[in-house]
Amino acid sequence: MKAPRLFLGAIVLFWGWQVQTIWIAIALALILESSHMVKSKFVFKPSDFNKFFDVCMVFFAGIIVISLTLEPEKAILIILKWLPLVFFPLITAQEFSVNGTIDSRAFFIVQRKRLKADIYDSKEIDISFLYSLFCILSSATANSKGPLFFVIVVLFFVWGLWQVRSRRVSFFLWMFCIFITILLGYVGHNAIRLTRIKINQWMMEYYAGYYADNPFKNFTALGEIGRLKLSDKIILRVWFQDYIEDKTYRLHTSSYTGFSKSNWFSGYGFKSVENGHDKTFWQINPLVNPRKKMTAYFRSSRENAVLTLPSGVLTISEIKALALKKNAMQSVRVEKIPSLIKYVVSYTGNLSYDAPPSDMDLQVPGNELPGIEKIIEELSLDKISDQEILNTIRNYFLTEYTYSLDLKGKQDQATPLQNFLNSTKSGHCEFFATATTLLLRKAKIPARYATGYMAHEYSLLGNHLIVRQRDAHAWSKAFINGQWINFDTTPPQFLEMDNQKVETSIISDFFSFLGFKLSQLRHETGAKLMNQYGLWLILPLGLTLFLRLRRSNRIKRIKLSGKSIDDTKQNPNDSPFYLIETKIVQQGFPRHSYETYSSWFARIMHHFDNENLNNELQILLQVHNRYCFSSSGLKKVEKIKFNSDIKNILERLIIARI
Amino acid sequence: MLYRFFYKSYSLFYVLRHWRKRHFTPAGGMIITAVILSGILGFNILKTNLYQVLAFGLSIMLVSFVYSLFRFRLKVTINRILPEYATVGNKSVYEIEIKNLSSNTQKGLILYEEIQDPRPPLKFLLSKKEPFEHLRNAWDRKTLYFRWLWLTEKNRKARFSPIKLPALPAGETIRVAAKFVPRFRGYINFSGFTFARPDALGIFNRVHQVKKKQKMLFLPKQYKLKTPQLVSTRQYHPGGICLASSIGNSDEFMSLRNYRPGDPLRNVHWRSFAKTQELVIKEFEDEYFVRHIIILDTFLNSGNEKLFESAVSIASSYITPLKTHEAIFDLMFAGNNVNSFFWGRGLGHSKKMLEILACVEPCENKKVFDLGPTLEADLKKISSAICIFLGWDEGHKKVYQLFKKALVPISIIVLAENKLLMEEKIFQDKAAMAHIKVVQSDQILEMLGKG
Repeated sequence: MKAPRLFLGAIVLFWGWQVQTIWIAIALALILESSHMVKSKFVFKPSDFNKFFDVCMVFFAGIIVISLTLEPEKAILIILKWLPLVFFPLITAQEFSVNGTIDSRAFFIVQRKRLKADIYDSKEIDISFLYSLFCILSSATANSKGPLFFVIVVLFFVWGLWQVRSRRVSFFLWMFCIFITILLGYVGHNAIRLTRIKINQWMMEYYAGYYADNPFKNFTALGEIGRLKLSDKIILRVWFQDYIEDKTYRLHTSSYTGFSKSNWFSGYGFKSVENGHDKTFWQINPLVNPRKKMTAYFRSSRENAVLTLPSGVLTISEIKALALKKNAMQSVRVEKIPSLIKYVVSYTGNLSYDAPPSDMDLQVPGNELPGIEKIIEELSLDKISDQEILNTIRNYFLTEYTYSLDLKGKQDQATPLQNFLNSTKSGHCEFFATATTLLLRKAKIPARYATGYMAHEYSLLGNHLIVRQRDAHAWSKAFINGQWINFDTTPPQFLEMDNQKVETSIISDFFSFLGFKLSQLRHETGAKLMNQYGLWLILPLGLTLFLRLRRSNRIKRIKLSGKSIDDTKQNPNDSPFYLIETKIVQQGFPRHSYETYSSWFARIMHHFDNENLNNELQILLQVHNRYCFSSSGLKKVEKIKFNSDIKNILERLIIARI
Repeated sequence: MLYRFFYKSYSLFYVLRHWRKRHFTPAGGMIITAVILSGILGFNILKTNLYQVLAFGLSIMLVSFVYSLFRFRLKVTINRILPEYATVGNKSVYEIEIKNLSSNTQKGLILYEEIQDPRPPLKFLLSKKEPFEHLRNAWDRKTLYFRWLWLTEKNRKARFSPIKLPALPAGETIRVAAKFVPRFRGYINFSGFTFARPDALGIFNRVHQVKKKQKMLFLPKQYKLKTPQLVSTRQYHPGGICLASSIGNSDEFMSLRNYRPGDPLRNVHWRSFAKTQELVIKEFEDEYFVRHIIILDTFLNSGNEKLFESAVSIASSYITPLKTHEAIFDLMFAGNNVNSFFWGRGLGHSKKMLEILACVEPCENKKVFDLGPTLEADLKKISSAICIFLGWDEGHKKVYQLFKKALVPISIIVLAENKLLMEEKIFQDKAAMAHIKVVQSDQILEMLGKG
């Protein structure tokens, strides 16, 4: 089953157009289609195809490694995108081979074993349609919008199906079937799209509550940070321009306003931030002085992420993202990001850009009221000033409560928070932060619940602060004297206790650093080089393969018709030795059809005067055989000598005696 | 338990593969590949357009499937016109005669040749060994995949390509040629034919099966080998009819005896008659036929059937060019019993021997010297011997000693996977070495061939 003429070229062009590598595609298409025009083809043995396939596999492995390194979450799409390029050597070898097919044993190791065993049948297969399928699948990764993709894919399918149509059916019946197929395909693809979107929506809604820290859905549940605290995985590496030894830096991720049924909700949506310069610089808030600077790196397995930032962000630069959005509580979300993200933040360190307080910031849910009111009464918070309230609450939690990572749930109390406040009086930061926020609200101080990380661990490997998952933290934001401040009532020893609970490993830290450095190298240096020069790697590799096969005489080129293309090789029919034969025959000594030159000379040479003539002719015969049958032919000097010897012999034959 | 599982799996996959090959065209296979790949890789429709390829592929399959539901009526008679034999490794052709009995012209049909189920039974899979099994890695040996493959190939004997039939006009008979290359010797059992009718788009086949049992013999592979120099002790002596240039009675005098009625007068010994006045008749040697024997070693100790197949091929290559009008030839090998067949001088034909060789099977539970008693009994009749051995051990030595003792010229071919190792092994028997030619199993033509 061979693809029709121009089919491969057209489909490669379509691929190039879709994935925006049209110039490469034009070159590939020209090479493939030129196979129909050239008059010489190559003789490839199964072992030669093995080598072509191996080269493809090397390319394939290379693409896998590069894609997994650069963008692991998009690896499949990247691999798929470059499939036509990866398998180009193989399809080219097939198109330029004499048979136009490939021995099936070239593809599989199992089949190659059969080749060695030589007792099993081989099968000649044509991969042109398979390659075309790869092109179509690759084109689909471009995800182009509009009906054009579907229309062109249908055209290619119809073109291919026309070749294999049954001769039993009339053209009109075939057309009718194709029409029905197109109709069903069109309806079907729309149905798939709509169904998938519905399923996506349903799944997003269903699983929304399970996301650990998900400002997209504006949810967080009590206990999520507690779970994060059980891991020592390094998630962020930060450099502070004003780094002070042993200082703990608070990094904010998200803030929440509403609390219900152990879940915090954010009442603010995200809005796009316009970038004035390029896709790496975003101004988040108006510029003020003095400014501080922080650089951070983190790895993300998703396309979108929420940045972990210090308070009062002014600008974010050097970040590769397609879009950046922020909400009124200074949470920043980036979209379409690579797997390693670097960003440089300029910030003030205060919370002056947070949205002003609203009614939401004073609400306390009814089911939590009994516990909250009890403490309000106990501490007499309704009778003291705002600043005193803060001090009282801080002292209260510090003296009456203990820090613990053991999650106890609600036990016999109405809610987990009630259990924390009335019964266990022990919990982790989420409970302290939630209780503090609700207490402040009840005491008529607008308050919010904030989550983020506490950066405190200095790493000598790279001289920067590392932030682990266990450093996740929650605290409150209180609106005091017309501005928001961070208010953290979690006992200060919580970091030490977290460290004791979850021990770190130097080895895993080292490998994490190594991975980070490699990733940094590839993303910041390698990616740039790969983007600019990556495709050119194919040229020397392909050339090396071709030359290797040619030098080892594995590939032979044969002339299909017309004049030989290989001018360097002598044409056996042009050997001047035949002049001697003609001359001797003219003198009355014909060579019988069964006679070799040697036996002929032996038979007739005694008729000639010169006794050495036979020996000389035998030597010339050897040169003639090399001229005709040796793969390397004669060197230029040898050829000149050969011609002169022949001339000499011819002259001496004239004076021969019969 | 594990092997049973492997066996069942291979068996199942064989059936599925066979079904797929009959019911899907190559284009159908491609569409299924497209559907599967786009279904798996295009799961997230927000990221790629693969779902569009999936939808169109599925719609092609659906339309083809619905079309293939239409009934396929076919009334034909079909017959194979088989040659008597085919030889392993040689391209062969036979004809298939198809008569369309229906009132419609049938177009675009594909004909598949069906042979008897080649799947080996489990006990065969467990007991037989693939020729290259010793070269396989541990995993391949454990899973028995290559053994399965080899046994099915061996039972299948040859592969037949599907034949695209020309139009079959109503009531007309057509003949098509089926080309094939026999790969293993023995009988091939044809079971029937499958007619396939592709749907309008050329994706699915609707099939119609016709039973037609026939069988055909594949002779062993033959090489162009040098004709063996069968030197006999009677060569250049008077009396051997096979070697005499003239036709007539043997004139080698043996003894005298009294005349018995019916004796030809020309044989009367007149001198004795003159002395004794009684008729005395000269007696001559019985008419003597040169008798050569070919001993085929079927005792496969190494389990390498490739070696055995090579031995059979060599034996058949020697049998074919022998001039059967000049001598009698014996072929001796052991199966369940010791078998000895002879032909020549009108007693049989080489073809019959080739048929026997086509069906000979290796024997694993006997020693080569089991042939000894039969050989000893026949030894006096034998002029020379060619032995084709699969190794060299005590049994082989004893066979050699038998011939040596009886002064029967012998030529021994020892087949080996590694020539040097075998020569080193035989080197200790210096006397035997002169009569032995060690041949590497994959270089038969190079070592025994003509020129």
